[in-house]
Amino acid sequence: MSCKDPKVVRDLLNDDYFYKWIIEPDQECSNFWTRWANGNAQRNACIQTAKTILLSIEFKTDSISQTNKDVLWDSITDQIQKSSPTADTSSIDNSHQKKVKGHLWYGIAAAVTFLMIVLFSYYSDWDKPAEVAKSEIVTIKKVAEKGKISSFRFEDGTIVKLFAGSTIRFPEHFSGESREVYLEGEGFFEVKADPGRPFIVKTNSLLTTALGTSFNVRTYENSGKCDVSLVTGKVKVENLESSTGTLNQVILMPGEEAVLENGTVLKQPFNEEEKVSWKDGYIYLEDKTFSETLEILERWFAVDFEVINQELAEGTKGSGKIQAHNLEHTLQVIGSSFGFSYQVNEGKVIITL
Amino acid sequence: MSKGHTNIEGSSSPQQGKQIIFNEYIQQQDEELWSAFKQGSLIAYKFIYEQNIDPLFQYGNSIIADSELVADCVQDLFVDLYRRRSNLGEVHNIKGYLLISFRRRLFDSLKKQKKNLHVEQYGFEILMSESIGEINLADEKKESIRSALNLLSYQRREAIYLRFFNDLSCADIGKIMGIKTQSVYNLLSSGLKTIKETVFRNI
Repeated sequence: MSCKDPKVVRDLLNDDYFYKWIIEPDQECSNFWTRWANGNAQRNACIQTAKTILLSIEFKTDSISQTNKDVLWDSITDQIQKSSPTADTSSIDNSHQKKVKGHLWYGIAAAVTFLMIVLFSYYSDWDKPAEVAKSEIVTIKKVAEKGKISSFRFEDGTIVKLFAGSTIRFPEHFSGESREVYLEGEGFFEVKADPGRPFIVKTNSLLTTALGTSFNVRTYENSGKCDVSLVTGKVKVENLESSTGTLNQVILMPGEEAVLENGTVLKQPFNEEEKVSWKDGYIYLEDKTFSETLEILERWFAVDFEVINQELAEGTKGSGKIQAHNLEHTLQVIGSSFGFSYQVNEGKVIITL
Repeated sequence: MSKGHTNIEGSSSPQQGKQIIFNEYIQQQDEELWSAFKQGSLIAYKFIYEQNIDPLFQYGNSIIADSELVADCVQDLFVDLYRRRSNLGEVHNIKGYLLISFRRRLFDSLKKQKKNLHVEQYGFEILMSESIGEINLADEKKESIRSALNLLSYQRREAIYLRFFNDLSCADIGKIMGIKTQSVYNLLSSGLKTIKETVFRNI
């Protein structure tokens, strides 16, 4: 429908209240014009014509190509990584503090070496219930169910978050000169400082000793892989399966992680967001292919996937951080990006690309 | 009118070698996205870049047709933003916030190069579309409307650009241009009336 009455258009364009409606209406102004046009096709058409007259202009401008956007983004990230002024200043500011911590550390390291020997037999005891009973140590076991993250607070105030499907075992009371727990799966620890009693996390292959500090430990079910990622504080990570028979250990500073692969522990930097987003309930994905994404979701939600037309997703990589409210929400967000539809059937998800 | 969301939606079917970003942030309010960025999220940072690079670049290029200078200012803006992220305050409209800081940087560089006078004359050059609604415009009509509209003051052209091509409020535009909200309203109102008169004179 077009406006049949040029006079209405002229009247509108001579009305200050019409300009107010276009520029920045308040509630009253909007109500007025909505009532004025209410259901009247002719009036609506005239409003459209009047608006067109005012806004048929364009501006001369240039757009930026996708390639140039990517190039610009690369130089931005280059520059923020190169300079990283926060790291420099903190190392100057904390030099005194660091020294003090260093002294503390040596004292504890000595204690840990001693404890290690004790620990070894202590932990092998755990696999033999009869002997545990004899030594009167009560072991408690906490399990995070599949598809759920759970938190647990120890008697000393240390908090652990357990990733879905992980298990932690610990004595009913921390007695003696250290606080020791045993982990299978993945856990994020916020350790309550207690200089007299180091906190020790033991996995099958690694022993991590810490003071007040927060870090993430992950073991991988089907391989000998294991890693410890430090967020704050300082920890020592020892390899219990050193292939050479010699002592294999690293000391981590914040932002560093220890990775056990092929029998050796190495130190490397890590992406904190990627590693520990899970503890805040976020699924973090960076440059993940379709099948890598599904593997991660399998870990989170304990489901199996069946994929129809998987080849359509090959070559596509996705990034993002998704709140892991539930499986459906996650599938919706990822599905709308990858362009798939899905059906959930009793722990099995059928995905159609 | 460009919104600059083209490479993040990812709703079409995937292609070879394509990069996508899961679009949960699209549903989030600016406040949440901003606070995620302040807490150090690189994904949020990248998302802010993706979402605002088009409006920033186009705005800069409307001020001065110098893509290299505009890109330099965008780069400085984002690097500085990242370095100062933990000290930044709350932000309710990210695009508005970025445009304020970006405009200041661009004008500082222009002043150094003594190009700022040039801007007043050539910035926000208005083009005329082929038709006004159903009325097709002959070339000479189009040209005479176009040249008349480019006599609008620089401030009026910029205010119209920000209000109707970037969908910003008068208050935000006032902050960007460094003038009062009421002045923005007056510029827009008198600017639109000039457009009306020019068009009526020519059709």
